Amino acid sequence: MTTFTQKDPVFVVVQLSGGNDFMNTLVPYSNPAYYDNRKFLNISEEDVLPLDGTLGWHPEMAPFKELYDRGMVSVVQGIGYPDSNRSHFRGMDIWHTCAPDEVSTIGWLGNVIEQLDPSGDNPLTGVNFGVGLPRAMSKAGVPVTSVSNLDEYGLMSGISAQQQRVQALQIFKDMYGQAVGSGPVMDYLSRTGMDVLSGADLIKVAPQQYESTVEYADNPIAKSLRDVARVHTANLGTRVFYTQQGGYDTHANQLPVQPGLFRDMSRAVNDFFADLEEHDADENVVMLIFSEFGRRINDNGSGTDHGSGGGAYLVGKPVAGGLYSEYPSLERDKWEKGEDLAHTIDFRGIYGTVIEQWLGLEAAPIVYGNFEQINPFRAN
Amino acid sequence: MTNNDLALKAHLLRRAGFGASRFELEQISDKSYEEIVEDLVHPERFEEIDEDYLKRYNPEVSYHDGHPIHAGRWIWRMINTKRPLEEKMTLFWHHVFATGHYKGDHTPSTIGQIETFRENGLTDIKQILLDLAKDPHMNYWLDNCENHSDQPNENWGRELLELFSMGVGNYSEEDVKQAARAFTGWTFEQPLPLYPYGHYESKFVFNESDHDNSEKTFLGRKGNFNGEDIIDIICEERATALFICRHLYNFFVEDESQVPAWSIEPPRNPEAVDTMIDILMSNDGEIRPVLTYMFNSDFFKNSFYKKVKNPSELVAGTLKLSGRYSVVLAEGENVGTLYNTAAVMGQALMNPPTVEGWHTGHEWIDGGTLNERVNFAVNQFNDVSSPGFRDILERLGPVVESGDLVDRCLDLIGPIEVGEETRMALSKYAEEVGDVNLSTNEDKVENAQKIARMIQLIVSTREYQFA
Amino acid sequence: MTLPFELLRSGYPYYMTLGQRRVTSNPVDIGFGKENVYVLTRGGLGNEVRVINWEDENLGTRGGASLFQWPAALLVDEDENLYVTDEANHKVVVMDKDGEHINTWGEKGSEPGQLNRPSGMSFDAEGNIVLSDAMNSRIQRFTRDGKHLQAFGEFGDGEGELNMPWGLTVDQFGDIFVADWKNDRVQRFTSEGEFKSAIGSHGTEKGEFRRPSSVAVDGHGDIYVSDWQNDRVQLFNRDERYIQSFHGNASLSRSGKQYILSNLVTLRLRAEGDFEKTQRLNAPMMVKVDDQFRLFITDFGNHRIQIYQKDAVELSETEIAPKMRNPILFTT
Repeated sequence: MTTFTQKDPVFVVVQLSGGNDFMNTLVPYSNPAYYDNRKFLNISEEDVLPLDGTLGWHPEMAPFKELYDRGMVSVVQGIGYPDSNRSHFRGMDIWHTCAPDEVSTIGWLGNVIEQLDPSGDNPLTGVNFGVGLPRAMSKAGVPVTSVSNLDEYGLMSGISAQQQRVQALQIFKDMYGQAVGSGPVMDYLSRTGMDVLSGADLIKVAPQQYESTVEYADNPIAKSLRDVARVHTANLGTRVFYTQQGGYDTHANQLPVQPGLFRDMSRAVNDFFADLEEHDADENVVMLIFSEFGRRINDNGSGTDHGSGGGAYLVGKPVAGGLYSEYPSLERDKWEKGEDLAHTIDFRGIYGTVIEQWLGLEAAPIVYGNFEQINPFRAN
Repeated sequence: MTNNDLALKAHLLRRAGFGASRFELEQISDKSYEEIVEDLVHPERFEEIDEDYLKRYNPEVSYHDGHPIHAGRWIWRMINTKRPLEEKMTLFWHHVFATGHYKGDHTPSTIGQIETFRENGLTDIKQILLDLAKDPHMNYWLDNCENHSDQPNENWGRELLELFSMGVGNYSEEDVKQAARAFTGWTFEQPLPLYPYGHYESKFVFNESDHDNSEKTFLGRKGNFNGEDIIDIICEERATALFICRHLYNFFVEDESQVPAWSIEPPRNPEAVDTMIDILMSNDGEIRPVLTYMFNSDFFKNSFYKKVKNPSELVAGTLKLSGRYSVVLAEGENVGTLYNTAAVMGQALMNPPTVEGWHTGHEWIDGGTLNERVNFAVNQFNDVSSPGFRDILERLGPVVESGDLVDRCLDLIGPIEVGEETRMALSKYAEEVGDVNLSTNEDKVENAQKIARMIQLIVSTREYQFA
Repeated sequence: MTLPFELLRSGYPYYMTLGQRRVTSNPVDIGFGKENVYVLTRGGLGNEVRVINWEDENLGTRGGASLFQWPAALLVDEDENLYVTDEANHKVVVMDKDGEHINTWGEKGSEPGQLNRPSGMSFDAEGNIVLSDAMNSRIQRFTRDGKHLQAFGEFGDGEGELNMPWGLTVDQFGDIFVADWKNDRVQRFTSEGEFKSAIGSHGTEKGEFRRPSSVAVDGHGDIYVSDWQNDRVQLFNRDERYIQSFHGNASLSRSGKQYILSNLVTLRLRAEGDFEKTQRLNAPMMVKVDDQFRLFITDFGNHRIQIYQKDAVELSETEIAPKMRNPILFTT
């Protein structure tokens, strides 16, 4: 485990939903095979933000490149798993449960959270920002909190007048709080209702205490990462944050769509770390950015289709920065199924890297096996 | 409690359907409880729901490229159907034969399976299992398309016995293998790809050249069994009747333990289930007579609040009260959002987490889902112009005295009963509000909010979480 | 403006398909500029105007969620301004060809000039807009900037009465043809709103409809009706006699072909598939015809536009025998 920080290590996951096109994120612009196969959807050499003479970032990734240049981004090239499943749902499930060969309902982060907080005392050990809990965080008996709107989190949030909401919450408390012995299920409901009330009380200090000079942009991923920052800086004991940015399923219109997503995402990540730095709260935070699959090598004229062999990024002060694993080969005889990038490292090895080297837990029981790890973190 | 009691009819419609507005209860006020049961088990007496309005205002239900809009359409049907038990039985079989969308990601098959349940849900076990065995969505979900004569795949054969008919402990491992062999060659037609013009459906195919036609020994019987024969044999077994009746009891009467515990724990009400089994078996596996018996039984009539509402029941039932998402959608309503509404409460319709289906009863409730359930129900009454709320307001008459407010509202929302703590808390609010004057339109505008708040408090109670 | 005396109908072959899923997703209406084709889309895959061209190239989108919620119909004027009805907000939204928002007019209500779910639209000869005011069961005429000119029709199923009208068109003589959706018929009115005739009734046979959604009339007076729930388009001649039906003959559009050629698995799956059903219409919503006698069908459920080319010879009175009173078997 790294000893970079004295504080408890915190882990933030950003899921790029829909399957991000890795080839047009980190562009192999010096390789003629790239242009041969990306006849319509290529980023020209003049446009890329060069990184090492062979690869370059998509032009809208400039704020992300800035973090990379500061040594805060470890790029995992060619991440995937054998026999990639091209269904969004199934593909995402596999990433969430580490179980490609069976259907599991236990999320890998559910296991992580359980080990970080075995008693389950703090419902804020794991916090998701978004609608509905991702399967990655779910495990029976492990309380986690899912927040769609931090400023209005909790029961009766639809009652806009503050005074009336307070009144309604008081009545709710009266209704749920006093019951004992009215049957096991009724009692269970009472307890759960009271837990929800106290969880909301805990988290509501986050927006109250927060001040920052960082001005996030007005888009969903920026809002979510600002929420992560607000809760993290409130010191509520949250160890695992989860959020996502949708829209990467670019079968068509990739050229107009992908740049907007990158602009929002890379700006938001950059702002997030600037915000943490301002609060002196960045030394114990590592972020993982991933997508459920990469996209097809050949474009289809206006977009790209579901493929494999994507990219993931570990971001934060504790990481060493640089390129890890290998860029998947563009040589035709190395393609998977004759049309996809072959992955060069298993995502379970990257999870394992984070679990063992960052969070200090044992990886094998969580990712179900031993997979090749990398060394993306700075030595102290 | 008499049979004509409004509360009892409301109970019946919460269980056999998705609840009822006061207007709907009034429409059947001249019918006896037993007549209503007869109507419920004979959905064909009532007109099918007219989907033309839905297709006009949410046109994307006309194609089959993604399941959420169709799952939402299903909830819209639950709200608006004149055949509530038809939709309820469809949901029942979906619970029992849980098939997740995510594996195949092929919407025509996903919704095709639900259509099949809608058509056969009230027929007999043999028909239902046979249709299931021929269903492409199930076939792919449990890998029977990979079950070849020279290389059997047991997945479907095993789950058919374990999770869909007999239950653990009533067959041997050898029976699983033999059943799998009998279903070799049961596969489906390759559907065309999604791009460029959307999904096309698949259908069942029996590939005779891939079928193992040699002799099999299954549950003590010998023969050159095909899949139909396996289902015939399964349906002769009392274990199958027990399994189905216990599911019916769990779904309609009272929350039981979760299915995996059934081989260890006896039914909550063995006597009731035994009678149901006898009725099922003496009627060749027909579902209708069992349901008729069950709904008319004392154990059913005495089962108030013994079931936690599943998310579909909570969502559809609450929207029936608020009058939203009706046959002609209001401006901007999109039924696809209803899928998400139920999904964040733990029930992504058409996409159950595993073949074991959803864990039900109090397991529907955790901190996150309770938050969603309460906030959803409360938010339906933020808008005092919703048709359902306006109807409630009209029924309350010109003046509601403070002392009557709780009872009047509990009556119009159910009628439902609440415990003493709940009543006290609600009464406290009623006292703060005082008498509510609704005589003129101006009074209504001024005071509607007070009534709406009372309704919001009622739908956030613990009691409201129960069916 | 005259119509030919009669036609030799050679046929109405399939011409081509435009668009594909995720480009012309869920198309509800179509309009034409000088070079651009504007496709109005509505549904889970996009609520906007998609711009393509005759080479089937994707040129981007106009409008979207910030301007309209339930877009129902599209008109394109001579400057390529785009008019879109929004059924959810009871208004007509106007953009220029680049998508710049120019104007919005209309308000909810049932008074003359007010709207309740405006749906189908057509220009009249003066360039005014005639539209279906669906929930008010009437037809109204407005100037392009929303000044109210005319209203006619009321709820019912008698002659001249309407029930949730949808698509409509104005022919070269000023007659207004309305898809009287819930009454399963098409009604024809004079420009003053007087009932002239009705075509069709509920059913699935020839000349019958299940929820007709739009109607178009070409330069020969031929009448095209999108028979929405019967998944077909029916053609009637100017005397309202049934001629033929279009069930769909689509082939791959240019973009669709390009798409599939870059997908090895898709190619394989298509090689295994049954093609009959891929040609057919699914919930065809709008029909349009142009002055070259091309028929455009927004094949809503298949995310594409099917185009047909009329092949007919115009005949004068001296080029054809007179009408016969009785049918004859002697036809050799």
